[in-house]
Amino acid sequence: MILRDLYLPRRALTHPAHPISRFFVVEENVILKQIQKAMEPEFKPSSDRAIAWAKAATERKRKEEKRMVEDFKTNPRTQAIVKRLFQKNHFKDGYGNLSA
Amino acid sequence: MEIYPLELDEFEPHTFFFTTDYALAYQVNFVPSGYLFPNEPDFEQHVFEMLIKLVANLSDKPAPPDPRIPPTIAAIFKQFLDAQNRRAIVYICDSSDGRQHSRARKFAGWFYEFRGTTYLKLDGGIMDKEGITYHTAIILRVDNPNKIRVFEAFDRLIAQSNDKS
Repeated sequence: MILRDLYLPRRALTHPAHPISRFFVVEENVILKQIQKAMEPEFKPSSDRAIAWAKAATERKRKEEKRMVEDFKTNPRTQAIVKRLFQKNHFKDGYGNLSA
Repeated sequence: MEIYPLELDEFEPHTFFFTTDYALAYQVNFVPSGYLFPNEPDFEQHVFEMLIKLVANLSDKPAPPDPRIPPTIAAIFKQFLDAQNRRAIVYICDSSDGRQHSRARKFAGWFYEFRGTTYLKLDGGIMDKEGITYHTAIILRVDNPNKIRVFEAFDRLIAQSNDKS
């Protein structure tokens, strides 16, 4: 609403020769910036406890993922599961080579 | 879209495997995470964190986006939550490579595509003092008898300001 109201007179009055044109252009820019700021997602630092949890959870996740990969390399049971699944797959052309 | 065949590790509870048309093998783990809610003995034992990891790759070629993976992940979620309606799954997006926003968007897109009317998700964003954001979410069944308390506890966990904590 504000933009439309502002835009209509601006169209009529923003000819460079018009003495009032500069006023409208400046006003519109100010309002546009305010709207832009209001619409930005709000991010403010979280509580110390939440940050500590997020960091610990991320670290724990990385360690656990690393453990999953290492465990898979040395675990014949999980390797057998994956081998069985691969044998059921029909790989897309150029992907996968079970004899490798 | 047809999902990939799944296999459960019978000796490791909550561990799933699937392989793809592009010769990749993924492992999905649900790790007990009761430590998140130590003051909630009623449901702390039913809270799990989900991990997805590529564990084997039989191809040298980079794999293109695979439309069968999202429904497969969704099927794993459903199988896990449907087995026990008190369960809740916490997911936190890895932020180590700065791609946490796109991971969160992708995860949210998958969820809204497959949730039906059976599952609920509560999102949370945490930002540290260096400006790094951590996207997290908790998912549970709509008939989870503890859903309100789980959501409240999750909300307290990620409370935005120090005043609320």
